[in-house]
Amino acid sequence: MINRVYFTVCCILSGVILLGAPNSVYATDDENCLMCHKYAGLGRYGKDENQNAKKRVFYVNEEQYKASYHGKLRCKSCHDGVEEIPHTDVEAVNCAKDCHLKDPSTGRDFSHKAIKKDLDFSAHGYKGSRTDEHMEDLPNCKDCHSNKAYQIGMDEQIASMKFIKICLECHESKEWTERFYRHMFYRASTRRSSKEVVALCSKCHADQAMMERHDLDVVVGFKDTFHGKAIVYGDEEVANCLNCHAPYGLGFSPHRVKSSRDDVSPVSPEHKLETCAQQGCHAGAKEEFASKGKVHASLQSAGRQARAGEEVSQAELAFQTWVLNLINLIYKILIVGVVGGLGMHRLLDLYASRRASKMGGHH
Amino acid sequence: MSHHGKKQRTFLRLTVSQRIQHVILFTSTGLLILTGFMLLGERWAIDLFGSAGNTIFYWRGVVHRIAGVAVTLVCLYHMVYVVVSEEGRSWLRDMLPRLKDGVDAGQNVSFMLGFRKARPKMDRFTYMEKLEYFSVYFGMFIVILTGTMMWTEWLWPKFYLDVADALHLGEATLAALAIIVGHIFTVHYNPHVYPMNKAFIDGQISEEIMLEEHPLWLDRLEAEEATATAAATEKDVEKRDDA
Amino acid sequence: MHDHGNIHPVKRLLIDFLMGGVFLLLAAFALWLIWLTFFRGIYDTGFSNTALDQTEMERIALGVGVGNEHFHNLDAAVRAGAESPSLCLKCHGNYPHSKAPDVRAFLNAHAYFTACEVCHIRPAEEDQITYKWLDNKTGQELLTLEGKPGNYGGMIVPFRMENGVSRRLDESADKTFIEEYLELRATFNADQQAEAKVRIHKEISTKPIFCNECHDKDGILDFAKLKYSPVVVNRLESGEVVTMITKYKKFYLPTMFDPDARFRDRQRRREAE
Repeated sequence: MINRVYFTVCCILSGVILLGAPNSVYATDDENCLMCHKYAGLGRYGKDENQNAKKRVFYVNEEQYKASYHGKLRCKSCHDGVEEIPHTDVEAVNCAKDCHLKDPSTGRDFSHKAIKKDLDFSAHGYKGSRTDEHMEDLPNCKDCHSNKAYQIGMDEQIASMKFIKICLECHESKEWTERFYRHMFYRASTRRSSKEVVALCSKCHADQAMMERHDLDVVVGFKDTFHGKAIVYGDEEVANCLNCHAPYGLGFSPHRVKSSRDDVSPVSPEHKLETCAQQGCHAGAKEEFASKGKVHASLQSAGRQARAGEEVSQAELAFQTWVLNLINLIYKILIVGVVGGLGMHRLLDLYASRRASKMGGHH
Repeated sequence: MSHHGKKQRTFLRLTVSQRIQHVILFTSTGLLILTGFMLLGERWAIDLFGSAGNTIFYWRGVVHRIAGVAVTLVCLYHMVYVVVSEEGRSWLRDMLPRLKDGVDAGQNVSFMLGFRKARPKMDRFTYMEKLEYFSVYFGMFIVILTGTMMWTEWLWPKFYLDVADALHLGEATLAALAIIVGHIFTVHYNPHVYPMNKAFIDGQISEEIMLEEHPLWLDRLEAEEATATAAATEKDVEKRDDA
Repeated sequence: MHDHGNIHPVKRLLIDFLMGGVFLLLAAFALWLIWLTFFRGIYDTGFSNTALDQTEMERIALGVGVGNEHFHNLDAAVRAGAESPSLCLKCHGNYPHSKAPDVRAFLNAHAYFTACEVCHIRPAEEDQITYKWLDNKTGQELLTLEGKPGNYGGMIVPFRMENGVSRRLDESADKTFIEEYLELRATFNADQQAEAKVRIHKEISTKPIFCNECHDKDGILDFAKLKYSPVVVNRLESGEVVTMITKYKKFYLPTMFDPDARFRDRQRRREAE
C-alpha cells in the first residue's frame, strides 16, 4: 500500500517536474551518464551471490534521483571506476567509503564508515555473526535501504514555504536550504512503518532455509501476537521487531542489533523486563511478566542445540505448547459437540413441526 | 389467534428488569464478538481499511473494553438479582435443573424423531433454555476472568497470558456459534416466531405458545390465579361476615 | 406465520429481505468461525512475504516487497515494460539480449521501445519495410513523440507491403501456433521443439541489424519520418550516439562527453589527493 502510494506520489511529482521542466534539466548531469541511463529498458541479467539469475536494472529516473537522499551526489561519487564503456571496470558500490561531501557537524568528509562498522560488529555483521559460514546471507546496506525521495506531508510542505523564507534571510542557496529543511523534517518525523519493519525482517527471519543455515529459529509466531495483529491494522504504538530487539531508548540501534542469546541483548533474561517496560509500554511489569514464555513462537531449526542459560527450557516449552494445544483441542471438541448438537436439535425441531403441520393439515 | 374472533390471553414472560438485562447482554456480547474477532480477520479484509486501519484498531480496543465492562456488570447484577429480588428468586427456582429435564429431553427427541405422538409437557423453562442459561454462566466466568487477566497483562507471566488467550478465544468461538445456531435461529428464524419472538421487547407470551411450549407453567399460573381469586373471595366473605 | 395475516404484503417483503440478509450474514460469520477454528488455523493475519512467491525478475521489475526495491527506486516506466511483454518476450524474457556482454544492456534498452522485428527482420533488396511508432494502448500511430526519451508510450513497429496490404511484422501470422506451442511445449520432444522453433522464427533474419546500420546518415531507419525533432535526429545519426558506437570497444568515457573537461580534471586531482 505504502509502496503504491509512494509510487503514485513519485509519478505525479515527476510528471509535474517534467511538464514544467525545459530540456535543460538533463544538462545538469555533467557526467552525461543519463545519456544512456535515462532509458527505462537499460539493463540485463546478471548473477547474484548465489549464482541465481538476477535482473539488473540500470535505469535511473533523474527527477526521482535528484529528490532523493543522495540526489546532490554525482554518480561517480559512489560508482567507482566507470571510465570505460561498457563499464567492465566498475566495482560494487562501497557505502562505507569517504564521501566528498563535508559533514557540516565536523567539517570533515562525511562517511557511512562508522555505521558500517557498527553493523559489522552486530549480529548481522561478518564480525559479530556467530558463524563464519554463509556470509553471503548477511544483509548489506542495500538489503534494508534504498535511495528514497524525502517525502514530507502536504502540511509540512506548506509550512516549509513560510519557514524557508526565514532561512533564506541568511542562507543564500534556496536549493540547499530546501533540501536541508526536507532532510531535517523527514528524519524527525518519518520512520519506516511497523508493517514495513516486520516485512523487512521477515525477508530473512521467516526464510526457513536461510535460518537453518545459521542455526537460528524461524520467526513464525510474531503475527500471532497482539503486537503483530495491531501492526497489521497499521498501529504504530505497539512494538515491532526493532522496539524490542534494538531499542534506541536503551542504547541500541538497528545497526547494533545483538543476538537474543547474547547477554547484552535487550531481550536477554537480564534485560527483558527493562525492555518490556520501556516508554511506559508495560510499565510496572513484574519479574514474572517478562519470564516463563516466548513473546513470539518460533519454528526451531532442525538439529537445534539446547543453549546454556536459555531462559525457557526445551522441556518447559514443550509443556507450554502441549497445554495450549490441549485447550484448543478441548474447545474444538466442545464446539463440535455443543454447536453440532444445537444445530441437530434445531433441524430436528423444524422437521417435527413440518411433520406436525402436514399431519394436522390446518393446524 | 385473531381470526378466532376472541381476544387472546397473554402472560408476562420477561419482566422489565429482565428485558433490560437482556438488552445490555446482547448488545455488549454482539460488540464483543465483532471487535474481538476483528483481531483474527483476514489480511485482505484488514487491508481494505487502508490508512483508517489504525483508528479502527484503536476504537476496536476501546469498544471491546467498554462492552466487556458492561457485560461484567450485568452479570454481577444478575447474580445479585436472582438472590435478592422476589422475581429473581422465582426465576432461579424455576431455572434450576431437575430430573424431569432429562426425561423431557429424551421424550422431546423421540417426539421429534416421530416415535411419540406429543411433546412432553414442560414448565416455565424448557431443558434447552436451562442449558443455554447455565452455559452463559460458564462462558462468562471464563471470558471475564481471562479478559481481566489480559487487561492487566503486566501482572502475569507470559505463559499464563498465552493460556488466557487460548481460553478466551476458544470460549468466544464456542459462544458465538452457540448464540447463532442455538439462540438466534430459535428466537428469530423458528417458523412459529419468525421474524421474531417479541417477548424480549414487550415481555409477553401468547396463550397459544404457552400451551405449546410451557403447558405446565400455564397450569401453574392458572392454579395460582384460582387460589388468589379464591383467597380474595374468602377475604371478601370474611369482611362481609365481620361487618 | 400466524401473525402474518394482517401485515401489509410490502412490509412483509421488506421484513423477509431484512431477515434474509441478516440470516445470510450470520450464517457466513458462523461458517467463517468454523473455517477459522478447524481449517485456516486460528492465526493467519500474517506477513506472508509476497516477494517470496515471485521470481527475482518480477520482484525487482515490480519492486514488490519491502527491501526488494531497486536502490534507485524504479518508476512506473520500468514496471510498464515488465508488465506488457510481447509474444517474443514470453520466451526470451524482459531482457532478451544476453549473448554480447559489451552491448547487451544497450540492446535491451532498445527492446523497450522497438519491436524485436525492427532489428531481427532485415529488409531484403526487393522489399520495402516502413517503420512507424504505434501507441502501446490504442495501436494507433503516434503523431508526436511526447514523454521521456524512448518512453513515448509507443513502439517502433515494422510494416511490409504484402499483396497490396501493409502487414505488421511484429504480429506473427502464426500467432495461434505460437500460443499453442507455448502451452504444450512441455509435452514435445526435442526434435518436435526444434521443428516448431524453426517454424516460429522463419521470418527472423540470421544476421540482425547492427547499431551503426541505423545510427548513421541514410541508415535503415529514417529518424525524421519517425517524428524525431531535427536536433534528436542529428544526435541519433551523427552525434554522441554514433561517436560512442564507433568507439565503444575501447572507449574512455569522460573527455568525449564532458562539456567541461577542466572541471573534471580538477575533480580528479582532488580525488587523487
